[in-house]
Amino acid sequence: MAASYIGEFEQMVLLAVLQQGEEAYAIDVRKELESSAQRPVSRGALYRTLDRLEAKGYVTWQLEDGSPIPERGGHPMRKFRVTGAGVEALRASRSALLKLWRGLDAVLDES
Amino acid sequence: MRAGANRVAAPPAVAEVLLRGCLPKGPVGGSILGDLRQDFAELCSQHAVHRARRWYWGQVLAVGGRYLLARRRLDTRAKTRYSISRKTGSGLMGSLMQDLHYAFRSFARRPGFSLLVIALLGLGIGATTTIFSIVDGVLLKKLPYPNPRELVFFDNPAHSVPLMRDWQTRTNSYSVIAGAWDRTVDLTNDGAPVNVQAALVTEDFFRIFGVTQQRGRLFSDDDFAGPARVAVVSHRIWQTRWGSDEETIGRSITLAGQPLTVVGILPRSFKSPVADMGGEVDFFVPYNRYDETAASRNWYIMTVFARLRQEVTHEAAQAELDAVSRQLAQEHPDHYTRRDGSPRMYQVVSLHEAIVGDVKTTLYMLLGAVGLMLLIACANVANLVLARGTDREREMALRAALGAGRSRVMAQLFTESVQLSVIGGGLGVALAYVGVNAFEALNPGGIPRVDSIAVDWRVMGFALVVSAVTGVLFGVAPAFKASRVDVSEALKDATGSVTAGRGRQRLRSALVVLEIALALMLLVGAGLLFNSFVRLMNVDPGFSTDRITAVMLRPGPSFPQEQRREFTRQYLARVRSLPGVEAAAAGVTIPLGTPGGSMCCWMQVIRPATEEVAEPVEGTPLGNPESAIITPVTPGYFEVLEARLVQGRGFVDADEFEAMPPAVMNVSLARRVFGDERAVGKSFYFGDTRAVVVGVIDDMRHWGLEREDDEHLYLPFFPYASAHRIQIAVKSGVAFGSLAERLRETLWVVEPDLPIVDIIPYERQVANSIAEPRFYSALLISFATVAMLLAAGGIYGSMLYAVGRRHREMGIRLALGARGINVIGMIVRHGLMLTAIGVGLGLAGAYAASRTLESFMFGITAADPSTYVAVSALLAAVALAACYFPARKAAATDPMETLRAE
Repeated sequence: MAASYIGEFEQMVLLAVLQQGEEAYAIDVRKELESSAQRPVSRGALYRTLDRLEAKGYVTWQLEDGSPIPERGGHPMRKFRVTGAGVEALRASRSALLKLWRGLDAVLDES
Repeated sequence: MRAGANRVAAPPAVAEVLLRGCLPKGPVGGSILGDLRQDFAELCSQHAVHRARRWYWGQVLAVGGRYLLARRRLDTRAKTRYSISRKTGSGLMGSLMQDLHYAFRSFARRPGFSLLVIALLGLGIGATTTIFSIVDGVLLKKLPYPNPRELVFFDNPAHSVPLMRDWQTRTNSYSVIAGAWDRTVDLTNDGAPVNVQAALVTEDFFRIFGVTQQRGRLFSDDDFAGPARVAVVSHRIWQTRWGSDEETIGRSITLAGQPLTVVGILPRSFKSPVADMGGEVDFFVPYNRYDETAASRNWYIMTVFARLRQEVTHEAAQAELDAVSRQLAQEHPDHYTRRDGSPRMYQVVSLHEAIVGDVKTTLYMLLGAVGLMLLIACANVANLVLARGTDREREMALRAALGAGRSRVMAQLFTESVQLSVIGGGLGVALAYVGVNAFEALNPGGIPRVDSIAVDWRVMGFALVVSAVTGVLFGVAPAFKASRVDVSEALKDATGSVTAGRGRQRLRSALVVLEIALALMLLVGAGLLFNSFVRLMNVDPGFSTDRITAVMLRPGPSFPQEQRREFTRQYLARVRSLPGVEAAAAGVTIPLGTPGGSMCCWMQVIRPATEEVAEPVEGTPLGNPESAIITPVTPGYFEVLEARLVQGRGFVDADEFEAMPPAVMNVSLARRVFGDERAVGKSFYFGDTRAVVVGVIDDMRHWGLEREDDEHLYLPFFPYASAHRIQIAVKSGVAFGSLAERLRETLWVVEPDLPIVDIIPYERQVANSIAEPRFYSALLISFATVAMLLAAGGIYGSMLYAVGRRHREMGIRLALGARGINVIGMIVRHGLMLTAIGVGLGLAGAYAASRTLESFMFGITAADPSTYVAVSALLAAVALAACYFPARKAAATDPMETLRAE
């Protein structure tokens, strides 16, 4: 299914959003990504990827209720959620990868 | 904590504005900005603020740049559609684009003209923006503390500690009242001894300003209960003296001979308001609340600050304070009543007013001056554009003939002028950068809050608005004129008429008159300041600075009185024996050694001792029992300074051993105490001590050339010097550099632990004392000179243009027998008439505005007629020259050539 193809970083972002559960804020998603992937993540790349995933219908967001905290200078806060289509895309991507992995364990374990 | 929440550091405003521009509008962009702010705050808590700010700027590229790129990609896709709409040029945007396009083309066609206009506007806007930056930073920006409106100051630089405690216990208007006693003290036990500015602060001082420590801790309640053992230091001293050493907390220092431990470092953003009132405070030490010695109501030491409760108005606070003042006057009549028996009242002023009140008039005066200059530049440019408009009449007529409506023609001309002025504004902002830096470098002191002056987005916004208004101002007259062109007339007469359109000429003349009037106003202002400055320089100070070097010392409290006197005796003896030194003497101060203040000395009531009254009798003093300033000086003091001895003699070595102290009075004091009688030989009381007058000297200006001397009593230095200040005058023909070196070496031989405040040629000390008036008169003179040149350029350009337009008329006149001199006379007469009207209006305007200068005047009034006459003559002469050259050109027209052309 060509339309549901997602890139590696997009996958990582979707997974990181899922890892955060109900409280997936961009700041925490980035921290999650940095700690699991062990590399710095550019905020620009993260926000653009979230936009793209939203355009594809894989994530949605809603504004956090309540008054904004002073450290944010009064700006709102977005809480992200992976949609059903997003989960579906992850599933498809995972099964495609698993198929490709099949029979290669021995080769890769050696290296 | 509320105060803590208010102090959340904000990212750089300009960076945030840029980011906002790049990010999508609405909650998406908003939430990203919020995330970045949150990250910024986190970084600030872990690292220095400047690092966080650098990081934030990086995010403008990393985040903003990415969004910008994405948007451009979208734009490219839409490009085809856009290029079609551009060709049709429909709608308001379309015609604006077209106007901008034409404006650029006409700019390129006449680059010389355009550059001249831009330069003129740049100059005007640059000067205005520079002064606005200063006004904004000093007067308009809020103080850098949370809720600065609530901060107040109890007027008078210092109050006694018991009075402050009374205010604390008897008032309800304030959430906090605290005091600071700032002093210059010596820092020893930490490299070479230096003088530093330290403040003893009472409980809650930091709470008033909502400051929290950056490292370590602030003071706890225990710190105030006993002699100070700890200190909190400024971020500045932590960086500059200890290189941001992490080990600074716990460091041992000795301030004023008292061993202390550094327990906290203040954040960089905190600057004590005491600093804005003089000297930057780097060390804060808790004030021992049980200190008996400072508990006297006679000791005026505490600068008192407070924070008003939210619901309390200034008026209510003042009323409450007035009531307390009346109570105190009843309880302590000896301290809190005036001589007329009325209670001594105190004022509550806003802290902002207390800090900037003194410079307000100066800064607004400068802003007014540059505003006038900008107006002149505008008039000049309008004149240029009008002149050019005559050439472009046909172009406009053609446009009108081809169907362009009147509003369309006007819109185009406006676009042109606003475009020029915005470019001029850009140049102006660049000039303002230079100007602000130059101002900070040349600032003669006396301007508080200099570090909040910056060319920031507020200033940029101001420059943009000024540019736009300028563009409209100088564009409006030409645009109106051009839009009312008679199409058929203009097209018919391709060569132009014999005389220029009367309406246009009138308008140009009016502009020239305006320029002259405005320039004259500035010239009068500058002339008045210059005139009073010259008078100030020529004041007879009553002493000589010839070949004198001043050594300023401030032995701190760690030097007991006896040691200070002994040191002075030894040091003077050694200095006098230095090769090339003719004489040396010391005093608690030398004249102008402490400009502006008489805080250095002590004052005492002086009254004559009549023969019948051998002992001082309370309540029956003769004459007016006011105090005099008491200045202990060594023998030779009057001789070195060449003070004029009016009666008797100066001090000699034996005077210190006299049972009844000999004293020298200045003329003012002698006259008050003894009237016209001869003072020498008469005795008097100062306090409870009886002394005898041995000499009378002429008044010397001690506190500033502009200030008459106070009544001064001089006493022998050795028994009476008690102040922490010694100033030494050394007379020598030796070059200053090598003399200063020897003086320094000698000092360290005698007293290695004593920091030197300054060794300075006395002449320079005196010059420094008038640095402020010199600076402001120089500044105003330079503005006025530019204004005069602009006005002269305006007249010159206008006449030259008129002569050019009337070239044929002149030719015909000359051919018909007029002589060259007649033609010159005709042109010059016209120019001088305009000048006369301009000068008349300008004089009236200057007179009306001169009251604002009254407080800067010395020795003259702001209505000084000689200044008005002199500057009018100067301007008239310049205007005459500006008319003469175009007139001579007109007279040189060859009549034959004109006739042939006809």
